[in-house]
Amino acid sequence: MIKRIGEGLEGPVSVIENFFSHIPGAEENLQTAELTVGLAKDNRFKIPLGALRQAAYVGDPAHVGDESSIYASAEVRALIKAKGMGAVDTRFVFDHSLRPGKLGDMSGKYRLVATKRKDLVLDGVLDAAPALLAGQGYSPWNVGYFTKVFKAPLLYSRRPIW
Amino acid sequence: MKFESGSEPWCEVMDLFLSDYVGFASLEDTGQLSNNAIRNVQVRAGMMSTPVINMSCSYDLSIEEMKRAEQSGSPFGSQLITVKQRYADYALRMLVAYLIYFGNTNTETVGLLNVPTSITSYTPASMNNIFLTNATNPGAAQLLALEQIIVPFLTTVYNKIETLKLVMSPTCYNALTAPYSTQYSAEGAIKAFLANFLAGKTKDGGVPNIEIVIEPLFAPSTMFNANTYDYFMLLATEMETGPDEEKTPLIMCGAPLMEFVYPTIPGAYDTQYKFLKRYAGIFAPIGGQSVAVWTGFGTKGSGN
Repeated sequence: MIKRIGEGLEGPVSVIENFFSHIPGAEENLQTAELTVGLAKDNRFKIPLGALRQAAYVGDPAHVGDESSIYASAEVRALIKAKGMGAVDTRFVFDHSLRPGKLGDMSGKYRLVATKRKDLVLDGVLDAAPALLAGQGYSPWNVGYFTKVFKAPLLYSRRPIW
Repeated sequence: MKFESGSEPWCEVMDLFLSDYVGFASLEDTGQLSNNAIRNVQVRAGMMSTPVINMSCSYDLSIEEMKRAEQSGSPFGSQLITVKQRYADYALRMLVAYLIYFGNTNTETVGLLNVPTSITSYTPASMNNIFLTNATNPGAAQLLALEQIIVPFLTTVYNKIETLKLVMSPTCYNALTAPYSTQYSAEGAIKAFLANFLAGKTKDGGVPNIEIVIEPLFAPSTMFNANTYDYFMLLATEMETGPDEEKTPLIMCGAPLMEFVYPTIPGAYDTQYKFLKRYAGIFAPIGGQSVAVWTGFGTKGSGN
């Protein structure tokens, strides 16, 4: 294990390291792992700002809204009920409205957004992919494509005219 | 105990205001002039603060590993890639567990063992010693010893606690299963203790809860506890307080963020993943009344 330890935390970390040195599996699996332990106020151990903006929480109930607050359509909800969370695509969206309810408290929670999972073969190739292919199949110098340009001559300009 | 995340997952210091933990009812004569005026609740100004520790563990998954994990059908082809993630998480969880119990004085991280003003050294014969030497009534002697430390603890908090937790080393627990008496009853001391304690009822008719935690981190002569003696801990985690008898946590574990994964950047050869846990420490506003620790209760080492 590669270590980067902040001031004053050598003691606890050496105890844990000693513990893991007695577990063969841990030594093998953590040989390229990097353990970083330090006080949050220490500049060397601060959280990078980019990580804060694109947070990815994993199952921490303190920060992720519960199941009832999942954003999903009725169809997707039925799918979750029937097949579980594994059957849908999920991502997190930060929601200020999910706060404990105290006045002036601007904290929020991450709300889980669930969408129907696109089947790689059926939905992907048969449905979405042909439409994309059709769009790419028309080259700009194709006359059929240019009819649009005649109707809206400034289509290629950056000015939003429509 | 209760894990509290606070309202800000990225804070650098966790604070607890102590004003919630002060105040008691008093009976007074209404006829007295001095008692007619409404008294303010005494608010104790104060704050407990603990700096937050960022701890993270990273692991790499190479394209080769990912591809091998995708293969199915052959028992030799597929390989579990979750093992690395689980070990990384394990390392962080062990570190948190160690800090919860033992704390770290260099960073002012309070652990459960640092909460009481002093740790009592248990001088009478340890549970293991009674188990080894008392041939006729080991359980009876152990039960008495157990009650002698638990009763004062409960009396101090007027039995208002919700759950009493007994945290002990495996040696201590195993010794406590010794028979009560060879002549009268084969019941273990721990069983007799539970039966005796649960015989009484609380004011609303329920029985008090007891939880026994067998904690290997308290065992003697290990890498966690280098001493020859073990630790025994009594915990009062919650109490009913205030006019509405709300449950107030007496011991809180400040952890702003326990499960976080940095956004990953898929690499050309391998992808690095990084777990993060943010941990502050134990907050025990009423101190030694909620946590009591003895050393050498289960064993004092070398066969005692």
